[in-house]
Amino acid sequence: MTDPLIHARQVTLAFGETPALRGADLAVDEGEILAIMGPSGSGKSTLLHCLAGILAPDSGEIHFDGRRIDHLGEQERSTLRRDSFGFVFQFGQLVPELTAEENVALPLLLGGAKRAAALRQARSWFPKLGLDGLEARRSGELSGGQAQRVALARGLVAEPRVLFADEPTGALDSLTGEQVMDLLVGCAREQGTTVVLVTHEARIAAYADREAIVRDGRATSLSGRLT
Amino acid sequence: MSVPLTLLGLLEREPSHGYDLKRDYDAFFGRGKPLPFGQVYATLGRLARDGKVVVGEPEAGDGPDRKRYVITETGATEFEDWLREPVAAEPHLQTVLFSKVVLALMLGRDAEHYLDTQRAAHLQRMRELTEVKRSGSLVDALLADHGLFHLESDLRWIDLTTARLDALAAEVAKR
Amino acid sequence: MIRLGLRLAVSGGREALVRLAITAGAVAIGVGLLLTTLAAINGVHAQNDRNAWFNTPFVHSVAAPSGTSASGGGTSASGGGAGASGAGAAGGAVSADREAAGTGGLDPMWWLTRRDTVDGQELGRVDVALTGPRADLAPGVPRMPGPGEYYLSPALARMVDERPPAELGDRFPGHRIGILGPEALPAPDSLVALVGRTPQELTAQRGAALVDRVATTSPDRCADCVVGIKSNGVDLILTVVSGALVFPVLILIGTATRLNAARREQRFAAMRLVGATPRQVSVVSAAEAAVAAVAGVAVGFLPFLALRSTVARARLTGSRFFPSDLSLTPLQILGVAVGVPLAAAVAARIALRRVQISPLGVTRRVTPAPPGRGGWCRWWRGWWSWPRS
Repeated sequence: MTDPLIHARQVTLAFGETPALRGADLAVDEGEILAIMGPSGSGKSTLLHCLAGILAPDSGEIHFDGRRIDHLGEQERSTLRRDSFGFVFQFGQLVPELTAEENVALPLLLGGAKRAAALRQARSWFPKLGLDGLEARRSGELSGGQAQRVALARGLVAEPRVLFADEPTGALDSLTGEQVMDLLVGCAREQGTTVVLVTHEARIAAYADREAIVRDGRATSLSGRLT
Repeated sequence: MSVPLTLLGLLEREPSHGYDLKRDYDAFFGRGKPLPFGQVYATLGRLARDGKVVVGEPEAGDGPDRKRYVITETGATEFEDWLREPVAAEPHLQTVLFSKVVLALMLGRDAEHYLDTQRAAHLQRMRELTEVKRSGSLVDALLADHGLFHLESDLRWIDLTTARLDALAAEVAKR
Repeated sequence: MIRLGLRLAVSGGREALVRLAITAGAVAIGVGLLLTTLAAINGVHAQNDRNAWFNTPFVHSVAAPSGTSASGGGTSASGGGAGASGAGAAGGAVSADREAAGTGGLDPMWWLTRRDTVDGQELGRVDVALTGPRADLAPGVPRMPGPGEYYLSPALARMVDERPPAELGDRFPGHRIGILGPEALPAPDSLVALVGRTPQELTAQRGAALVDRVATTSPDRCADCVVGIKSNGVDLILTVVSGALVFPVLILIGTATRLNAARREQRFAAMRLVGATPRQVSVVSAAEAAVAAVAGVAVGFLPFLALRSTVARARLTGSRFFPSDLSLTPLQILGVAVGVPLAAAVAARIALRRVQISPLGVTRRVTPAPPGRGGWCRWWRGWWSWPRS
């Protein structure tokens, strides 16, 4: 069996006096879609933030692709996020001042790509996600489902190794949410992207290959691989 | 699924042969459990006896065994009534899940482990249904959704019960 | 990145443009006030310089006839009297040695500066008596007046023309040969007369002094000067006044920034999430802030121009300014044009220190303030946010 792509060991993190993670262990294999479930306040989002290098844990280790990432500096973690990770969050992640295509191109622009090339690459995602004709809209002019699809395009445009999705359908109705999940899973499988999906909805978690449950800041894996 | 009423509904659409009825039933309602021919003809026989269908004139070129069935006024009325009537909203209080949890607590077994296993089984089934939904037709998706929502409500009950397990154990022990 | 910052600054839709306009407007008002203050300070100095020539008998006296009150009877011809008061060796043989004492071969002249009044208004009167043809020239006149000739300032000339001679005109013996140019006047409406007399007439006058040339040193830098002011007092007042005026402007800029803050923080958090480094966010925000500031500076010259005539009439020093005196040096313009956008960019950086830490501004909007933060900081943040509550 190969080493997991992401491996967290005994991760703890407290916000002030409140412990959010108390020794969480989790392994994510390359190419799998893992759902992290758990009641609200269980620490599932915090675990995702730690895995994605957004938050630095108080103790424990996090390895990504054989490299320890939990004690990296702010600069290195930014670069890691930009080059290796993509993100789809519940809402508010698009830059309201920018058009949809500029938002999608943002990771490429931040990585130093030429503006014209970045926008061209960004635009190529719009038909794939059923967003034709919305390239010049700003986030305020998009419906919830459209905004999430734009966010998905942005999360995948730089061809990341891992896509982190935190309640990506949390602000959507069931039908729209399922469309977004269909596209997310479809694109991730096509690109071979590993997905870490945080959700409290079983129907959304059912899109994953496997689920882990976080209770009281600890993670348990309950089911094996689907295939 | 009520087979007689479903067949009545298919006949309300248009007069049909027994073979066509079986084919349509399997396509829309069978879901991997095809209706045996014997059951089709037995059901049609009972419907004819009760005056809900009649056997129509055989058409030219049809074999002697290919009778066309036509719905009667009585049959149509019964079907319409059934279609309008909401299904009784049963809360299914005495489910197997519930019984297992209460019995486990009563006997001091590991109820939490049972719930976790049950949860995993539910999610596994939900994953299968989601896959059906993603790869199948809209009709498949519709049925898969029905199953998914039911499984999801079970899951929510499982989650809630897991969270309340300690209190529940105390309550069961008291009696 | 800079281009992205500029793009963000101008493309936020109407709401963002309004905020941009508020910030730019506030900067413009601040810049306008700053420029006006600097110009007023320049004006005070320029006006003071125009008083210089009245001080001629006090700084350039070459002989002190007995009975005169000229205080600084020094002979420091080359020293110009600047702070060298009383240091000169009061030579008794000066009058006999006039040629030697004269500067550049100028003929000395008798000079008397007096203060008179007309209807309670101050009237500056200079009486001169030449001793030779090569006398130094006073400002604002083509030649010095001979005996029986005089120059009047425009305002005084009007008054003389409007009133009976007995009331005013008779004070000036002889006839008017011209109008004093603006160089000779502290203010456009100053009442000034330059009257030519004979040496005999003047020597008899108390306070008259024999001088070798006309004083040009600013009363600021001249200890012996009697006419004019020590302008650093006025400078101080103006600086305090402008500080008081600029303060509300700073509040306005701060409020505009606070209005902006929630969305800005969201935007920068979103950018940090997808991998913008703290440095990149800094560059973007600085570029954004500088856009408003540059626009503000450009527009800020308008309130300055508009305020100029008001300030000229404001009698800050007791008399009006010549509008042309209310001007700015290139160094001052450069300082404001560079300094204000720089200050705005620095302020933007400071305001963003908190957000740069977390890319989770997106999902974690309410973060409890970490304990142990300095009280001053809390005061500062509370102070910035009060206009909203």
